[in-house]
Amino acid sequence: MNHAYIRPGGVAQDFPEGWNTSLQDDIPLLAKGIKELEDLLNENPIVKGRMVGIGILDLTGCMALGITGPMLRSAGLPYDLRKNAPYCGYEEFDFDVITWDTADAYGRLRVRIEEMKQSLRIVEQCISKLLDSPGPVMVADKKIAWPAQLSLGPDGQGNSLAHIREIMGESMEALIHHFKLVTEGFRVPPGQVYVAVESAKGELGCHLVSDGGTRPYRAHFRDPGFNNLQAVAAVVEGGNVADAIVAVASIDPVMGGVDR
Amino acid sequence: MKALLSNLMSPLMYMIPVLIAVAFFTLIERKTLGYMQLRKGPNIVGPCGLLQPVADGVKLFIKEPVYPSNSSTMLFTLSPILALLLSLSVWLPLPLPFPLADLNLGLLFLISMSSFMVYSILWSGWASNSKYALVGALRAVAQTISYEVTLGIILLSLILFSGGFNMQTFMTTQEPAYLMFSSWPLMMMWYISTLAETNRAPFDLSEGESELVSGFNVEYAAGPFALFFLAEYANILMMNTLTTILFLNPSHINNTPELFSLSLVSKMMLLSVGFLWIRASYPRFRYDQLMHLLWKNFLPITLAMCLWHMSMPTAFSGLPPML
Repeated sequence: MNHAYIRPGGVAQDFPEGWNTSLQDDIPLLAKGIKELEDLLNENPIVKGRMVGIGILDLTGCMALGITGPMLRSAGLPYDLRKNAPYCGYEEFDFDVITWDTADAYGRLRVRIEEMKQSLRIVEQCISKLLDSPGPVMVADKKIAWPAQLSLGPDGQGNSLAHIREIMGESMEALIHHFKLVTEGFRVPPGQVYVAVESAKGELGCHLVSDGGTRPYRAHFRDPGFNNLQAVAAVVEGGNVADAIVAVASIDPVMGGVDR
Repeated sequence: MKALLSNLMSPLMYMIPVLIAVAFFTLIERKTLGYMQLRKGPNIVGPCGLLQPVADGVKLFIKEPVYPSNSSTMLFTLSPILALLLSLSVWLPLPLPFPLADLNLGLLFLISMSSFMVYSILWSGWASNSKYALVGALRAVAQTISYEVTLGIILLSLILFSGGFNMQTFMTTQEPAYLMFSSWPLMMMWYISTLAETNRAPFDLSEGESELVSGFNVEYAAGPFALFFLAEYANILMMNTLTTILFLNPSHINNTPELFSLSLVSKMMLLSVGFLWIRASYPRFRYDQLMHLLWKNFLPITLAMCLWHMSMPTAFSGLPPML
């Protein structure tokens, strides 16, 4: 399961057989694991000693630095893109936006653990919604849709033999579509768009500018780690070196995104 | 000739099993930590990973020991040797059930040898000529000598109950009941102080946190690193054996005294697995919180308990015969 699952037009392939039973079996396990984590961490004196009052960045600081995600929510502001600017059907799901009032590393820990529980709630609602109305896997327009009927071939990867037979042997149309999609892509009308999602680290946005061709004129990803990491200077000021480690960890940057 | 042989064989008779125990203890540590983290530990090398310590040992001893050119070679080479020497020689007065050297001042010997171990950390950090190693070594030294204060005072309280520094008297003292029942606050503080003394989590900032490298042994390569490693684990096993002898002595087995060693070692292994369990569960202390814990929390309580242990037997006319 990688990022190529979600592609223009839909998703790469349908769920495998028995997906809802295996998911429904796993959800209580996850809930139990989260409960164990909470029991271990939330009232632990060592955890509290290391994290309470460390890495404080109050709301004015967060707003000045453009911080999003659990850091902002630990400062008290209930800003979640899934509620403020819903996408992908999030307006139909019922979940809470978790905030905490101390803007420190302990608050961010509590926010993240509570958000895990809310995610489990969303997953349960997703399962029932998908069972009621499955919906299409990929858009019908063959010039955009690029489905993959993946199966394990003799080399352990790749499209299923039925799919290859359809492309190579049976349908000329399918071959042409596949060829054009893979080499050229599809044309996007000129213009620009910025869409953001609420990722685990904060607001992950994509800014695309098109000039009418098949390649983007400009593509920029607003990675939450990059913007949140700028808060390091504000957060470690006046503290110990050991506190700096905890503070940066509570910011939780993904360094790959920061490099990007 | 006979004297030479006996003087050579007797120490080896306890040192070699201790080293084998240390080697397999590293495996137990990795497996226990693994299962506690919902994964299996090493299970590829032998059946269930039993040859993993052998593989580790072979790897460490065939690697080239690297000496930094700016280091002070005498101290650099000497510290790991000192560490292992002390860790092995400190097993001398422990009654298992008969010690190799039945010292009348066995506990004093133990405390002084543990204090001497501080030197190996200090010299290794200093001789590495690297600021990370130096800072890590200084913090580890400060931590170790701080926790030796409570170690000494707790031992003093127990000596007052038992009547002497000889470890065999602890067997007699505990025939009616374990000292754990009479001095359980001391046992709790003793267990945590031994955790701190051996630089184990959650007090392992000298290994874990100092810039994510090994602190005072960052410049050590293969052979010397193995010596430090063995010394640390031998220390852990020795401290747990001492805890068992002091607080949980299996001397009440009068009908089958042959079971003494078995009972002692089982309790020692349970306590060591407790060390590993604690390592898997708790995050690390910050350095000042660690010092705060000792000087402001443990020390007043241990001093008060020492006073209690002095006054209570006198008040009830129950002082043991001081040998």
